[in-house]
Amino acid sequence: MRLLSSLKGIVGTALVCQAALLSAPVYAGGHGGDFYKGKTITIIVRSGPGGGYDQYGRLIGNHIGKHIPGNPKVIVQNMPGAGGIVAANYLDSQAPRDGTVVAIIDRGVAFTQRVGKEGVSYDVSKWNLLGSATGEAYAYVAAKDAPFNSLSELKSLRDEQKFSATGPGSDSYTYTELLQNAGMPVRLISGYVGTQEKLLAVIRGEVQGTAGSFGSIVEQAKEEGLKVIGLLGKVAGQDQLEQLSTFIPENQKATLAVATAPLAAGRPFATTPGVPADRVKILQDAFRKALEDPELIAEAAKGERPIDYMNPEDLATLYSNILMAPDDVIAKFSETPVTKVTAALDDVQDGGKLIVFKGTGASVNAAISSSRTKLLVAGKEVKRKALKAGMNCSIEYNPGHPENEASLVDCQ
Amino acid sequence: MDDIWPAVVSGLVSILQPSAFMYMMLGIVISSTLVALPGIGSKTAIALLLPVAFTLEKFEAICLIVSVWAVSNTANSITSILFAVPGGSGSQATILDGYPMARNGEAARALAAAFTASALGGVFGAMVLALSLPILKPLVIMLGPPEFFVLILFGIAMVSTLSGKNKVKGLVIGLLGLLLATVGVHLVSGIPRFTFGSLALMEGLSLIPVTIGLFAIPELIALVASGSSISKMELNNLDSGRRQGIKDPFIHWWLVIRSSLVGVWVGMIPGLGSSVADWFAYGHARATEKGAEETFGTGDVRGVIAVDAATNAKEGGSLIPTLAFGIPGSSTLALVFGGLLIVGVKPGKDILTTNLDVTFSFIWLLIIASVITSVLCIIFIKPLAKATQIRPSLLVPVICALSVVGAFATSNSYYDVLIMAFFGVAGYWLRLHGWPRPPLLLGLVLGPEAERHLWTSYQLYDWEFIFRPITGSLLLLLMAILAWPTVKKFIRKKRAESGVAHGGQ
Repeated sequence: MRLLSSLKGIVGTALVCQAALLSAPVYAGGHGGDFYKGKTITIIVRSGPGGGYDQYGRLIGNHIGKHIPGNPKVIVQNMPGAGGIVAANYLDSQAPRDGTVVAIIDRGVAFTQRVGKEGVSYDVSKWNLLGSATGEAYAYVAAKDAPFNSLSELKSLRDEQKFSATGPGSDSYTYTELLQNAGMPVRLISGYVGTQEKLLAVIRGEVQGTAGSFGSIVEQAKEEGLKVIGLLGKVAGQDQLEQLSTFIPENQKATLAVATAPLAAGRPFATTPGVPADRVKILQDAFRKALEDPELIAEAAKGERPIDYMNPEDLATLYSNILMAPDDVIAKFSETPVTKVTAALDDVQDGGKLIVFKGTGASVNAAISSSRTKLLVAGKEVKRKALKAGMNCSIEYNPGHPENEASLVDCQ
Repeated sequence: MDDIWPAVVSGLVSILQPSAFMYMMLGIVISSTLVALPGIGSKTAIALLLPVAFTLEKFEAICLIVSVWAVSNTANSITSILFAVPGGSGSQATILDGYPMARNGEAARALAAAFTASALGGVFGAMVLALSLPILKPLVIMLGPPEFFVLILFGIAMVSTLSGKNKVKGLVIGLLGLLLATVGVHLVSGIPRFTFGSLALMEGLSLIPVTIGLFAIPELIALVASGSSISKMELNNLDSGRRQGIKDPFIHWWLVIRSSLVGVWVGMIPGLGSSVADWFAYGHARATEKGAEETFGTGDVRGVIAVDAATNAKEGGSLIPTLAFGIPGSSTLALVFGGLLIVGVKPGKDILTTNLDVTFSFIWLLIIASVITSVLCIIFIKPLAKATQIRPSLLVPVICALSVVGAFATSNSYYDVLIMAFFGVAGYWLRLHGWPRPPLLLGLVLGPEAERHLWTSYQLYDWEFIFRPITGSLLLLLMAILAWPTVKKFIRKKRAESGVAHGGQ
């Protein structure tokens, strides 16, 4: 009896809950010049409330309506998830294709699509782009007492410098990693969340530097007496700062171009595929006019959010360059980062579980795994015990691994 | 320090101007209605209010935005106590004793105690913040990832106190929670774990849907099955219940102070928020209060008081890193200060020196808004408490809608509704077979934070991080706390033995 009554409870609950779910919005179609009259435009924001995407989404949301014939109502809806992939998939396949849905998309959408990240089911090339509200640049900052004042001084150092970072796969991690591509003795400490935690780590002195988007990091850094040591991307009035791109070796320039294209895209907006051309035109024009609107400009200035309109054609070029990047350039992003050096083993500890050698500038401790590291001495596979200090070896190790695990140690 | 007093006064005067005061009241109403429902957090409300703030004077905007944020943990206890549906992430632990109180016919007392404790906690947090202004910077610099890691271990150690009678079951469930916490993209390595290729799982399990599933759905099922109203008793004297509830926090004033300190402490640690403060406070109360072992979980008012004092005191604590370095301690605070930029308030040196009155207006708002909110909420206790008398056929659809919308609105995702349903079934099973549910949430909340601080510490200092002075001392303290019950038992046994020996002679 007890089982029966609880069963009744479960079924009853499920039925009522289902009724509550069936309240999805219904969209009506319509044609003609005054299509937008009485309609509601939804602006999808690729992240939760707060932060840059949300603020730009709401800026446009507050002002685009009056530049569209028929003055539609505009609402803003947050759709966070998987670094913007959830919102991009929604825009691509689920949103109504009548021009009533506009999204501020992740600046890296095209890159994420090209490298084939898990979960991507959208195709940027089919979207109707509206343009971008502004480009972004990255700034590199260093602690007050860090032994370097600029990128070139950092490059000349021999000792490893720690930089706080978020997790691999995020924009900010990739842009901090570029310091390593430029041959600087930098080690990334990952696991910090957001610009605030990265900066606090520099202030506490547990790391020597960090990187963040120019708008979100530079002012706070200066206020705490931190040094701005360089930039990635142009910022008006900051020509005295060194550009990281000048330190990147020639053979990696193509990779750099793909990696930094999302920065140029900044805060991009798009509407769904399949929208009638006249409505796309209306939305593109309204987007541009909204960004020229003195009221929007005033509101953006008060929130310290720069505005620098990019037209849809330029944005499309930027994205198609990423989508058509050659495989060998893209492959650099998908494989685990490997640093290759040839060096003498300065020390071998724990019966070969740990080796110490001079890496690119700094001294490196790398772990040797009994199963994952391939060990060769004079061309023959050996056990860890066979490694001795003083041997001359070519070493491949993963600088992103917490213990710098080596994948190959090939000694003479 | 001489020039502090003019700032204290001018901060108070600025928010008491009629127009500013009116916006504070507006903020309070928004925070106690919209924000107090599950699904809509203070973040969403503030984001919606930013265009309004754009048109306001400086202190009007401060009053509006800061009050929405400051009192968001007061009214969110209502749905927790009445229906076991958490109104926000800070009122999960309120359910544990608040809902049983409602079932015992003590809804009025539980609500009154929660609101009063909220006010006391809010005021206490603000006072701690004011007193710590001169030592803000060294305080924040003292604590890095290794210290955060050990402090979170203290929380994980609470699994045993939250387990109730069956420690082994509690431990198993706590470990299951830690395991579930690993779902999603790993913050340190960027590798997705247990996502099974699903986008919905990339950011891990969201807390609110899991909590609603674990606590609200099983109660809902039980309600439908039993066919009786939530309160099993007659609500004969709401007035005396309310009076008793207002008195309770004052009777347990020492618990209020300790819980508020726990709240301030949690607020200071980046990454931890209300969702952690409530469990820390509840665990602390359960471990230290007399007789808690027997009565907590069955409707003990002290369980409600501890949680609400802590979550409200937390707001003052979270302002500490923000004021010290102009670096917002939480994403909600980042939004608050993003909004205040619009009216020319910049976090950092500015509001600690030339605009010190702004800082004090924050502190005054924490105090005044907390008290007003609690008084307003107390006025509405009677009609609220009567909801526990409504027959299930009317009430169940309402709670159901609240649950579904709450789970959905957290990130506008239908997957979260599925997650709620899954944990609803799991929660019902656990409830039926006497497994404790809180350790699961504790593991789920603390797992990711513990893990990332551990790996960041390791990357920074290798394993030697455990020998850092503060880290090491905290670790020793933790070990002592964990060993104490066993040591106590051992000493007692020895004494008893020697007593027997003496008796024999």
